[in-house]
Amino acid sequence: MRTRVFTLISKRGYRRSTVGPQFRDLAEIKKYVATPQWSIGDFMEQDTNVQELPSVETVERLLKLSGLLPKDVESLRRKLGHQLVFLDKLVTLDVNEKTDPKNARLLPRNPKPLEYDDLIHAAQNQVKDASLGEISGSWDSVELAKNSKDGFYVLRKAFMKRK
Amino acid sequence: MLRFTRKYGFKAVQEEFSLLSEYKLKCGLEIHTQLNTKNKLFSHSTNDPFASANVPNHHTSFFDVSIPGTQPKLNLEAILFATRLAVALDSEVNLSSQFDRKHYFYGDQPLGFQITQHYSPFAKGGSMELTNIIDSIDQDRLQIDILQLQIEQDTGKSVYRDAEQMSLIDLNRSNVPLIEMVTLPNFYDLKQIRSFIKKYQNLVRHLGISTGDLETGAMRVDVNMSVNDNCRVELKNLPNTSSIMSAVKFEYERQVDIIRHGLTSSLLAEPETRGWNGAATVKLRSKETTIDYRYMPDAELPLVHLSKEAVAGVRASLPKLPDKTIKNLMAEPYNLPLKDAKILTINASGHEQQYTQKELLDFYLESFKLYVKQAGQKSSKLLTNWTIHELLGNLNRLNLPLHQAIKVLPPHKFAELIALIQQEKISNASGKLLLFHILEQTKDSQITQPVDLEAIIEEFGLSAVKSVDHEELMRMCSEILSSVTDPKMLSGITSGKKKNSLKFLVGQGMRLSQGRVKPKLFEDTFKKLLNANW
Repeated sequence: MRTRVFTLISKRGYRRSTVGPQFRDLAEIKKYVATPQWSIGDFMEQDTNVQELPSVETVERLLKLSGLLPKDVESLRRKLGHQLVFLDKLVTLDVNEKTDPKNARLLPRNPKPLEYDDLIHAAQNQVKDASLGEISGSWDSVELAKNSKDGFYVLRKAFMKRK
Repeated sequence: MLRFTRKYGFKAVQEEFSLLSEYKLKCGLEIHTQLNTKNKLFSHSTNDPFASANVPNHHTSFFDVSIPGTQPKLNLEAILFATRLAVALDSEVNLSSQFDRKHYFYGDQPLGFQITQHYSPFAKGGSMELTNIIDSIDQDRLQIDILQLQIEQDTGKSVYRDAEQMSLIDLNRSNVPLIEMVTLPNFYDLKQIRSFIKKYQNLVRHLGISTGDLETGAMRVDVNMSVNDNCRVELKNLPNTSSIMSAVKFEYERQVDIIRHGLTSSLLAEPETRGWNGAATVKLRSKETTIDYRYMPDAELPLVHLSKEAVAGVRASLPKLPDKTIKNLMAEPYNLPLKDAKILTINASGHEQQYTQKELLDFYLESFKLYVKQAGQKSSKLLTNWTIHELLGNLNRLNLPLHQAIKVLPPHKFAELIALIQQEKISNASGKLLLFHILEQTKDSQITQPVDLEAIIEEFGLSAVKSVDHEELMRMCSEILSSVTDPKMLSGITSGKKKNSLKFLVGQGMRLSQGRVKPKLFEDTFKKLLNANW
């Protein structure tokens, strides 16, 4: 019979595992698995005494890198800080170190590898999907833009050159 | 020449450039090459990045312009092309590569990130060898190691309108597949860089995966360089080979000046990116650090799983690589000199040319095979000369693509034409007239089927005069001599002081006989008549 592994997460953000008594039957296992051992609420709860907000410079730099205007920096600092607490706690979780990090996405893990014929066939049989706007000139993308000129999108001065 | 050396940015490149032994140049290249797949990388909209001049934003799917909710779907033709390149460079193809997002904000990249390969690129390792014989570098040979190849999407194009304080964005180029090839810093002189670019350009054309043109931006070269192992500077926005060379020379001298003035700790302490404005390298920005790009695996694109057999299949399908072809052409049975072998294999500029290298090479090899059957191998030089000089010369003169000419003059007809010349059934001069006539008619669409050489020869009376009447020849030559008004020319031929003037007389004879009499006969007759005994 399997033994129980309790994962304890304290409000201060550290965690530990202990080995508990054996499960007695399948129902007990199912019940254990079905019962959440932690809640997002626990993770998001903040110890305001220890929380360090990201610096104003960091927030401004991130805004700049993202092409956003440096407005509401204080509010963004708090929001970013909140998210960082969550991420901080997330990295304390146990993960199976043997798992390939390439599999950290919700995508098929072991698809059938592509063969030479697959590549040739795909290259020779490319089909345009009209419902995805793939047919040249079938729709006017610029029409959706607020500013346009002679078929081009227009970018105003503030964003023109990459600094 | 003025030099504002204290500014370390303003000084013209010296006319006579040389590398200094105490300041060691070290360079690596990053080359972005647009793959000429039919469609784009993550959508099936048409891959035609040069349409922008006429119709901006024409070849754009919903994904290419980043309409929210759209998703990328990988075009496997790009994977096929990338595998071709990786195999040709002897790189190790990653059988499980992945796409990642590289975040940076720029107007012509509407997603806010570029889909590239950061954590697990498409291929690693490999090399390309430069040799003195084929690539004209100063060293016998130099191996340039490849760090990696990665597949990524191109951005859109910005057209800056500074006066109007705006830039115009065209997304025809957005999402066009690129392959980025990064070399190790193995280059230490300029000739090596130039030769490598040319060779790489030729390789992608040979593999049929890109036009390889620098002028159109289908290939873009960035140079990473350092002097005496100081911090490296990346040179970007180099539109052609001469800009690349000038920028490297300028930057070398700039860095040498900095080192000489003991300012490395302040001016060469951190990597930076510089552009080329035609006269100087100028700082574009401090180089972003990896963390600034906030790389993350793309959540919407599955891993690219390739089987080993797929790579082997691509390897088996590759054409013979250019270096190997050149070596073959220089050996039996072709025995071509290097210059001719290179013309047939790698010298195509690609841009606005009348043939692709493959078309020309295939045409030559097939013609060679058929010609040798008719005329024997000994005279094969004649075929080579006619291919390279007469045929290509005429195609260029007439602006006629080779593939069009082949319809009328396929290899067996071309081989037949040269064999007729070799067998003296038509004279050299008649052969030239005939070839030009055929190609001109092809250009004007007056002939569309493989040509009947014998019928044309008959029609124009081009058959060589089999036996020349000696008296008739003497009469023709005397007539030409009597029309010469400059007696000094004739005495110069007699004395041997004006040997070249004899060619003029022979030319007159060829004209009179419509090229049907061999020039040698005219030459001998004129010499006899003029008592020229040289």
